[in-house]
Amino acid sequence: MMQRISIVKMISGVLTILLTITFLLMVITGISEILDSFNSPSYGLEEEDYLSVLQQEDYTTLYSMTCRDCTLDAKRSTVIESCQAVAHYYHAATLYKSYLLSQDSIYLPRQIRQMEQYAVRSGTYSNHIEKINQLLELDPTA
Amino acid sequence: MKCPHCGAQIGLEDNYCPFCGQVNTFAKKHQEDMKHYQQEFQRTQSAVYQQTQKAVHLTIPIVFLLLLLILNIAAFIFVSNSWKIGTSIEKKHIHSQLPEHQKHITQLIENGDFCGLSYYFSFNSLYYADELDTYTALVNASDSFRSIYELLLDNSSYYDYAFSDEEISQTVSSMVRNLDTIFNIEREYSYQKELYFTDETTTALADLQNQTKSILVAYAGLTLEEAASLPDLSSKKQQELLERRLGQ
Repeated sequence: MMQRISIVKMISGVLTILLTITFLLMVITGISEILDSFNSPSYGLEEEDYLSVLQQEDYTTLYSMTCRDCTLDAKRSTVIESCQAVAHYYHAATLYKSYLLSQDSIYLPRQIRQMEQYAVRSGTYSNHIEKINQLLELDPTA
Repeated sequence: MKCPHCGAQIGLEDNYCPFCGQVNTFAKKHQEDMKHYQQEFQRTQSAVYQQTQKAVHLTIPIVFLLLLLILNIAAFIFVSNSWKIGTSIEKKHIHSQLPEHQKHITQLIENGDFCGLSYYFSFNSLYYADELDTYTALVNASDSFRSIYELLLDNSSYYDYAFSDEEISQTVSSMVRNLDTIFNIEREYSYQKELYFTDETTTALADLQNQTKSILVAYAGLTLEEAASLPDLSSKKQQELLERRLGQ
């Protein structure tokens, strides 16, 4: 009789372990699927990320970083806002150059207005405005 | 009871009669009976204890297993519905910020920032919001524009890396697919034109298509005439033209 009980105990022990593992796996899968369904708000960038890219003068990456860092809840420091202004300036300037070369005067005033706005907002990093102009061979005085 | 020898009143526990001193035979029998009953009681008690313990030993794991089984079923239902739960939470979150999202989208369209629009939709999961369905076609075209813009700007500005013919061919193939999306977006969404092509989105699409041609002139080396005729060319001719220009 005791032997039968120990066999039952062993089987129930194995089943308990198996059921606990499957339970935990299912709960973890469920939670991860819930988190996956709103993956983007967790995307966050620090000042260092922006400054590192800005230092490399990789403005295309800076612009795409800025666009990714667009969740409404995110709080951004003055440094980040200035870096983002440089990124937006770069984007506006690239389009300005495009319209200029395409001889499309309709959208030029819009791009100029944006470039002026973002140049003002670039703050401490306004030296990059000049660098962007040089890179894109733009003459802001023209 | 009475002593069988002298008839005096004696107790059942008295081994000898206190009056005549003779042996109390009833007491001896009584004690033997009591001892027997006590042993019987102890045997029964231990048997009951053993039975109960056996039942407890089996019941606890069985109840625990049943509980785990129920938890597993609940977890399975949870997993099956987890995506729905997640999207429903996300939809509520988006809905609570809808006016601000709408304001941002309008601003991006007014600025002609279609890369920004593409990222904004994607990183705020706005495709969950039914209220913003009207921007679906525009955002789809903006995604394609973003690919072209990033590709051209990355190559033209910073990297002196010389692309092989095969790499150029693959890149251009992807660019041609994106151009097809941008210039033929109305065909893709023709099943519900009223929803996807409002005055606002139609104007924005024209701006986007114009912007695409402009960046191809500025950063892919197309002439104005080539850029203007690009939407009318077949995919093969677009591929040839872009390969030729980007290869230069």
